[in-house]
Parts: sequence; structure tokens; C-alpha cells
Amino acid sequence: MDNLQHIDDLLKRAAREPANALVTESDWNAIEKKLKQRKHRIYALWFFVAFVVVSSVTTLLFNSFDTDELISPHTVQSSQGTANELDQDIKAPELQNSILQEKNTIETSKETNGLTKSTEASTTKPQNRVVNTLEKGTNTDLNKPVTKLETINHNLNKRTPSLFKNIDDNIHPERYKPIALLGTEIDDIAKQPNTSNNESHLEIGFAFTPTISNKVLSESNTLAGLINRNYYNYIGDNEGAAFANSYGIHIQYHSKNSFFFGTGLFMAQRSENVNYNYTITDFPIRNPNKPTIDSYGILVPSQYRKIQFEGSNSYHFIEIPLNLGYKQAISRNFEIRSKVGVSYLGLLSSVGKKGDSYDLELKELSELNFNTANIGLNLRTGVYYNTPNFTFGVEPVYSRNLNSFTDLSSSSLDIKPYNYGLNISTNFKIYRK
Amino acid sequence: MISDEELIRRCQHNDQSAQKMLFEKYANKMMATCMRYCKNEEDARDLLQEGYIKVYTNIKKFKGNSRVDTWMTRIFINLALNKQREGRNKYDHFEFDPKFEKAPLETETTQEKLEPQTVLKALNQLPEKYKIVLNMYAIDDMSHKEIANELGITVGSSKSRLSRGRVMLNALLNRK
Repeated sequence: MDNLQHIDDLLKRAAREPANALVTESDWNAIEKKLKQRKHRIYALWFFVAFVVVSSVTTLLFNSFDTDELISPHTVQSSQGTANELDQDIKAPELQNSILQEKNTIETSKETNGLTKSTEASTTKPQNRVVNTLEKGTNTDLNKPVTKLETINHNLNKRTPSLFKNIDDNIHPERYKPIALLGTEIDDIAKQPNTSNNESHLEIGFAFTPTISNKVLSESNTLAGLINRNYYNYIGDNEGAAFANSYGIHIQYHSKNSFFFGTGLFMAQRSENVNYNYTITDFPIRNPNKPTIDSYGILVPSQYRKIQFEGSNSYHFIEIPLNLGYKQAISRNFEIRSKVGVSYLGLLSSVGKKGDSYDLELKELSELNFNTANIGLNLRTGVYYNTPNFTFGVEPVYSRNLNSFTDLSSSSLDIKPYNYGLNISTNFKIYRK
Repeated sequence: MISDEELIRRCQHNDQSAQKMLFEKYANKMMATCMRYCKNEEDARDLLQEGYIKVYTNIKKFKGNSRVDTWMTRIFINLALNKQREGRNKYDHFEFDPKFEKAPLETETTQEKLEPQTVLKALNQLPEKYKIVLNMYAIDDMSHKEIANELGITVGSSKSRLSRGRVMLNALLNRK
């Protein structure tokens, strides 16, 4: 069938003709829409990956960590041996509070009724063994009405069902000395800082940082000669601060010595307001041998271009910080935390328009060359409220780019954005067992 | 007029205006390719859109070793083939009809008078497996080895499909 090779030529010629179906603007619109959707999917994927990683780490750590250790052991004076469970249960914060309340009630009761120490104790009911304990195992002077102690024990038993269920007759009740707790140390609990913060632990949580964004503008050493003589008047002076924000997940490791290390994954947005209103009446003439503008050609009035644009340009980043921090307790539940660190800022997209420093033309940000990989410095100090399991903090933040945001190999301007704002974060604590 | 190199460089920086320019510059050519590999205009339009998305997402891999439209065409062809693989059962059952062998051979000059759209319409009437090989070999200048690799067939099968495709197309054109 070699004699049919002319079919190939026929096809080739036919294929050179334009397609019968015309490409329309709607095809481009559909592509543009799909590109945007794809970008959103990528963001969502990043968040999903971050969520999975954080969840996995949390789950793994949670299996080997416990929060029981968060109560300082010195608040309860217990003996050794088989009473660990009872010991641990007594450490529970709600139980301590209840004991404190009961103690106050006893004190009040003593004062009003003048009751004396009871000499009777039943051994038939589990709660009464503790009554026995209270009496036999202590060398204190507290005189307690039996009826009141029974009430205490009943309440304890009710609140911590596991407290007594494993205590059998082999346990010597005199080993327990709750009276010492009641008599000597309970008052200290309220006065002391939350000692749980001195334990090494992890904190995982969310943060949101609304900020004001601005920039430090300087000229490139090598390409400064290409800045249009009207740049600052027309463009540079008409770009200003704007609102920006970042949000994401963070994780911190807190050591015993008040230092902590943090990282995370954030979506950050930096912005700038622009308000241009000028007319281009000339054009720069560049020196062919070196990066300078030699002179300006004057446009005829019919070629003048009026630039009028007001808007907010925004740059979207993925931010991965690496921070070192120090914390200082200022009261039982409050502490000051200070952090310093660097952040990797990967530019994901830029939306808006900006005047070009060379020919003053208004250009889409996507047409301009920005560094996609940036390093930023961040500083923050703030107040955190602590509970045994959570922290909530508010801290002023300052951050800025360490490198130029523009590509200095092609841009005559060195732009270093900076932000200042307020970080709001809440963390969940995980303790090592 | 902006050069292809500049256009590619800007597209590699996710420059949206450059992406649009790249679309406008080659969309008609790519649409023609899509039309050749698809059954109808609607499928071709879908392929055009998906193809451009793929071009933009892979443009950082373009090293400039070939013309950008050649590189793009290969992307569109691969995408078309992937789509056809997904719907392979649509044409797998087709068998070559020997009656085509007996079709009279018209002279080249007679066929040359045919309108390009008539030729392409006839090509589109061929069973997929012959149409694709004819497209890849005759129009897109791919070798039998490349076609075999792309389609997952032997070089012999590729040659055989090309030969039978030519016969069938010739028969169809002779009816015009």
C-alpha cells in the first residue's frame, strides 16, 4: 500500500488549515476558572496535609503522654506501697478543690458547734475505712466531727468512684495522711503559680494574626539607574499600608526551663494599598551599554496615557516559622511569653496591579518578578492565660522580610515588606507521662 | 510581539497575562489537534481546556529543547490518548472491513482537489485505532516506535494500523 502514501500528504495539508471550530473567549474563561479552582485545591491540600500531620503527631504523642503529672506532687503527702491509685486520685484538681471546700466547711462547723474528735469509726463500709484512716494515720490536732468526715468521704467517694473500689483489706489505712493535706498545704495551692507550666510538654493549636502591612523601599545597587525620574512622585509615594493577616496551625515544645521551640504551617497574606493617578507623557531611553536611563523621549499628546487606579494588592504566602521562646509566670494563671524566630515565606500568588518603576506602565503583579522563596524575621511578646490543658494568648507581633521581595537581578527596587499586628492563639497542652 | 521564550519564562512565573497570551497564540492550532483526536467539537473543547491546564501546570518542565507548540501538541495528544484509553471499549470491538481493500484507487490529483475539511471529516469517520495512528504518524510526525510506546502496542501493529487506515481513508475520500 505504498501507493497510498500521498494520503499522508493530504492529511498534513488539511491539518495546516485552522480548525473548523473557533476558539472563543469563553474557552479562556473556563481555563482561567479551572486554574483558580486548582489553586484553591492546592491550598486545601496543604491544609489537609498539615491537619493530618498535626493530628497524627498529636495522636502518637497522646498515646505516650498523660496529663496526670501536671499536678505538683508536693500538694499531697501520701505514703508508698499499694496506694498509688488513691494517691493519684487525690491529686486531681477538682478533688483538691472539693477537699479545700470541705475543709473550710469543717473549720466553720468546728467554730460554730464546738464539736470534738470522734472516737468511733465503722469498718464495715468502704468510706468509713477512710474515716479510720483520718483518725489513725495522723498525728494532727484537728478535731473533726465524725458525721462531717463521713460526709467528706461520701462526697469523695461519689466524685471519684475509682478511689476506693480497688482498696481491699490488705491496704493499711494508716498509710494515708489526708489530714496533713488538709491541715498544712492546701492553702498553698491557690497561691502558687500553675506548676504544670514547668513540666516539659507540647502545645498544639491555632493562631490568627491580623496585621497592618507596609514595606521598606530602597534602590538596588546595580539597577538603580533604571528608576524612572517620576517613579516616586507618581508611584512610590502613592503606595501605602494595608490590612493583612495570617492563620494556621502551630506546634510548640516547652522545656522544663521555661524555654520553648515552635513551628507550624500558616497561610499569610500581605497587602499594600495603591492609589495612582498620573499621566505618562514621556518614555525612558535606556543606555544600551549600562543599566541607566540616558534621557526621556516626549510623547505627543495623543499618545499620553492616563493611569488611574486605586486598589489593594495582595500577596499570598505559605509560612513556616521556626521560633525560640521564653516564658515567665506572672501569676497562677498568667504568664508572659516572648518569641523570636525566622519564617520561610513561599509566595503562592499575587493579585493586583502596580506601576512599573521603569516605564510607569500599570502592570499586573503576575507580570512582575518577585522572589518566591523569602525569609522573614518575627518578634512577639504577649500575655498567655493558662489552664491545665489549654492556653490562650494575645501578643503584639512584628515581622519583616530579611531578603528583598523583588528579584534584584531584574528589579531596580529593593522591597522589604513588614507587618505589625496582634497574634491571637489558643493551644492544647500534651504532657509527657 | 513577545517572543515564545519570554512568554514561557513569564508563564513559568505564573504570570496570568502571559498565560492568556500563550492561549491566544496557539489556541487555534491546539483546537485543530483536539478536533483531530476527538469525535466531536464538545469533546475537543473539553480537551482544549484540560490541555491548557496541563500545559500551565507543567510549563516549568519545558526546557526549550523543542518548539513550544510542538511540546504543547504532545501534551494534547497524550491527554487525548489517555481519555480514549478510559473509553477504550467504545471502539475496541471494531474489525477491519476487507471490502475497503477493494475500493478503487483514485489518482492523487483527484483527491488533492478535496477541501481540507472534507479530508479531516473523512479522517474523523475512521475507527479510533486507525484514526489515531494516522494522526500521529502522518500529521504529528511521530515514528512507529513512538506510536507503539504511546499506545502500548507493537511497532508491527502500528504499521499495520497505519496501512489499513490509509486504505480506509482512501476509500472514504473516493466516495466524496
